[in-house]
Amino acid sequence: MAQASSRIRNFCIIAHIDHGKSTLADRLLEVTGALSARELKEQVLDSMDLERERGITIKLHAVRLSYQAKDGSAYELNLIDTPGHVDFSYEVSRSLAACEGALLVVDAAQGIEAQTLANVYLALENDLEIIPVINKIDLPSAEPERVRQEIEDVIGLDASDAILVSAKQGTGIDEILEAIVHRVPPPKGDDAKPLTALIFDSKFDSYRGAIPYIRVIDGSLKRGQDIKMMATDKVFEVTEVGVFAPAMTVVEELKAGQVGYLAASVKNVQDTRVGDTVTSAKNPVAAALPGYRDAVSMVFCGLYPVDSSDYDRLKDALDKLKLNDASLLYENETSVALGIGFRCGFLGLLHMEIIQERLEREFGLNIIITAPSVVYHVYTTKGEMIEVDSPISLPPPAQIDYIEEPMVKTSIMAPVDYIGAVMELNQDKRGVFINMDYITQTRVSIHYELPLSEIIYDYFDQLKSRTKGYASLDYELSGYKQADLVKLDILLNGEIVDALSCILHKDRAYSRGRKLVERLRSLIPRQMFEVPVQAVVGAKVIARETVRAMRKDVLAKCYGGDITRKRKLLEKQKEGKKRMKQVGSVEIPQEAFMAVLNIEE
Amino acid sequence: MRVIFWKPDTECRVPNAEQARALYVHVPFCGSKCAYCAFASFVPAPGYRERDVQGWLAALNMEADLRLGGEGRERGRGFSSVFVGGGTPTFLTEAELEGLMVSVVAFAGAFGEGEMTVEANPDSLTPGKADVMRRFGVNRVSLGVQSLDEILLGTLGRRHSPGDVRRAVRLLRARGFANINFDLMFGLPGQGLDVWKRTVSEAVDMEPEHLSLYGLTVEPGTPLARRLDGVSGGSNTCQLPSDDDQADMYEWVVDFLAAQGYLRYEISNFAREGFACRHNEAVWRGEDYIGLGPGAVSTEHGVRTTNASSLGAYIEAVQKIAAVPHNTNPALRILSAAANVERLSRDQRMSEYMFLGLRTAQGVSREGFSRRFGVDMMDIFGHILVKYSHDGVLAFEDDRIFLRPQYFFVANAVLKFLILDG
Repeated sequence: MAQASSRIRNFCIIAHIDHGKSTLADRLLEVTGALSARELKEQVLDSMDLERERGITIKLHAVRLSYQAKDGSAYELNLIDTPGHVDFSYEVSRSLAACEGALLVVDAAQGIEAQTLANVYLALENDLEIIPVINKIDLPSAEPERVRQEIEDVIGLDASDAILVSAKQGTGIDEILEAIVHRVPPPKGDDAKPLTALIFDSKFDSYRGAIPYIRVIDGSLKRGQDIKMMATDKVFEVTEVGVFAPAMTVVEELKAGQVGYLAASVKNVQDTRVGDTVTSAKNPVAAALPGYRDAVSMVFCGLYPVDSSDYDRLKDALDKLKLNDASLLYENETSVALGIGFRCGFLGLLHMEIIQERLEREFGLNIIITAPSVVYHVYTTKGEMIEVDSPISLPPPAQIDYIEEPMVKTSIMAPVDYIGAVMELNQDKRGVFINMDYITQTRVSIHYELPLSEIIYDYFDQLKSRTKGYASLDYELSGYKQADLVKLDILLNGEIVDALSCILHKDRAYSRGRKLVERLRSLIPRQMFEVPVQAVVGAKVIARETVRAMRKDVLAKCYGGDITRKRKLLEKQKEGKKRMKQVGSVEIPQEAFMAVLNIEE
Repeated sequence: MRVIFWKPDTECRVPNAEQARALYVHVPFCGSKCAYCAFASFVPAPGYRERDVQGWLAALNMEADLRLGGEGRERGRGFSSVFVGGGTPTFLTEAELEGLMVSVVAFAGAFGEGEMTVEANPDSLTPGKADVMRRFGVNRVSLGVQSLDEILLGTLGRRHSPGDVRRAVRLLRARGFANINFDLMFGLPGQGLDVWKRTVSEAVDMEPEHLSLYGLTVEPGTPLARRLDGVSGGSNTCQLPSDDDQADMYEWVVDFLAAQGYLRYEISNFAREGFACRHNEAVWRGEDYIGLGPGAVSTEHGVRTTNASSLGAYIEAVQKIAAVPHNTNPALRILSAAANVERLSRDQRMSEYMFLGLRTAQGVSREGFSRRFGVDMMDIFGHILVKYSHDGVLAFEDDRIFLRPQYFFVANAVLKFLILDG
């Protein structure tokens, strides 16, 4: 029996930031009539404000396009969008697994970037049909031929039939749609088999609960059916199935090969994990789809309300964000300096910044974040290994035998002119050179192994500035290595301010300590007393500065006529103090805690 | 009969409140406006001087009738201090000054041994005016000296010379005035420590009984503020000394005056033994006071009223209210004459009691506080007071809590925490 799935094509778009993925997606929606040009509120797929501002996709989205092909048949094209950042590579891999084909979009002026390459390899691993698309051919600096050659040399793909496109001007869009129909294979699933569906994303809806976005591999899915999530073994009754057209639209049934969503009154997104397999509760398949893993937090930091009375609001905000973001982890943490807050785990730095910004913008919270940390493996003298993701929980030096830190293998693509700059940066960041490949005569791919802690600290900014923005980076975790790590503490007025502590390499301690105390000296306002600012490793003071005592903070003469005014002046001064954190007898402004995040070395 | 302000209200009622014993009278006129001045004062337009002065004096009498009440005036309010300030009281002619003093003495009623201060400018104080003051019982003269440096006097827009100050002092002494205050300013544009030292030394040579030293506050909208805004690191004659430089000036003057036998009894005030200004002390103890004249402020029974500061608006308001039939509640009439009425909450009054009191050398009295507010000071401010006494900033001695002298110039760092939110 000819399955309906022969008219279905599931594809995604692989592109580097700025290479025009969103504009292209908009064109596809427009041409297939999914949305009129007027409805297209520029880049529909990237619907979060933050995403629009940053020009990147953070959360994935999906959309169904109806396309009347030149062969006379109507096709259902499902575009599954992928996030464009290394922090979300697992999510990307699951989106790719839901597709049979991928558009590889490369900027005609810039060529392939490291992140794109990493995702192409992921797509090849998933046996996706790859259609090269060279975009922005309207640019004066476009070199489509050079880019075509680059695709062949670097990826080993036949790029002779790469499609030349200007998404901006709308040229080449029909060719892309035809190529999707003819070159991307239809899904192979079988409606008659037991249900297997892959969750590639999920979102939380306050009425319908956690809604997994799924690709049905085999079998079919209807309202009323009992399903089981294989990672958690939990069973739910389906209350609704639907597709993205592009808004959520209820359908009777989802069949093998189709992309859509289901609602089943799932309480939270922890039960609709990306990569998990949905199967029938009555007739489950034996094995889940391959490739699932739990979200792994790479970066941790402390999140504290500036005003301690905002703790409950911060907790509510995190709870709400967590509804939609299973990869966000948090637990209570108490800092002597900052009071009660949270230790939060993130997929990476971008993820951390996004959460921070959303807490501030969407929830209006004023928060202090502490220096990001990676997860260290600390081997104690008792022979145990403990995972430490916060300087606060590092055992005292006497109990530590040795410490291992997470390492990453990086791949940096850059024009040959910047080889020196890239190498210098990696040496500075304790990197160990692995190798370097010439992609073309003018571009190289450089591989280093370096500590993850160096990547999360000022690495992207440095890479960008040292290569004038021409380099791109991809990295993956490569294991743990022993390193000479120490805890750097900051003492204000002789007391440790735990929120300013960090774990770092011994060779870094002196210069970081020096810079930090200088910075703090300039950020901490003069107080009633002289405040010594010290950087300490173990028992040794490695740097010291002094915030001199304030000498004048007084009202001019108070006479009967201006008492109200004087009282108000004092009220105002007191109000200003509320934005400060009182640590011991020292008042510390919010910026001082942020100083540890961006000290240039 | 005591006049009760507003309907009974426990929040507003002050236990054991005494009636105001400090009276202020504002003379809004000046010969010229100083560069730093943001007070309610003005230079009468040519040809209108007499009209302005007479209008002001008439309104002043009407306001006194309202505030003090005819009945009260006869009995005498029992004021312990009267302070005639400005503006420039000595801007008035001898005859006008006499007219004012007739009224003031009437307002004050049976005044007895009280302190009566009149402010005077060295250039406009004449022997005749000094005689008038003497005759009406003025026993303290506050001279607006500000500086004894010719250049700085020019910068400030003062009309007198250092020589005028010497002349004024001689003139007052010759008439038996035994309590003279000098107002002096520091932290002036271009004023170095050496200039300050010279001014203070020369001032002390003239042996005033009292010195009021205050740091310049540049008020927005004054000519001085505009001048300073226009300067971006230009000539240093127009730059303000840094906070550190001002602290140096203050520290020096504290030591110097102590050696010269002046006691610092409040952050900005120094006096020979027994010459502290009683009028200001009453205000700093949080006692009620009454102010008459344009821009004058009164605080009675937890209500603070501020008169309109422009002469025209002041006269108009007072006339309008005076026209209201006398059987109207006098309290309400006074309130409607004011340009601004502020009802102080208990928290605000407690805060004021603390921040004003702690600026004085003797500090605040716990007993006085509980008598006034019916609650122990420690129950309200305990944690701040204990914390700072722990740090050595505040000291407890018997019933009193005071700021240690070395922290006077950074007093706000503590005082701001004594401002309650309510």
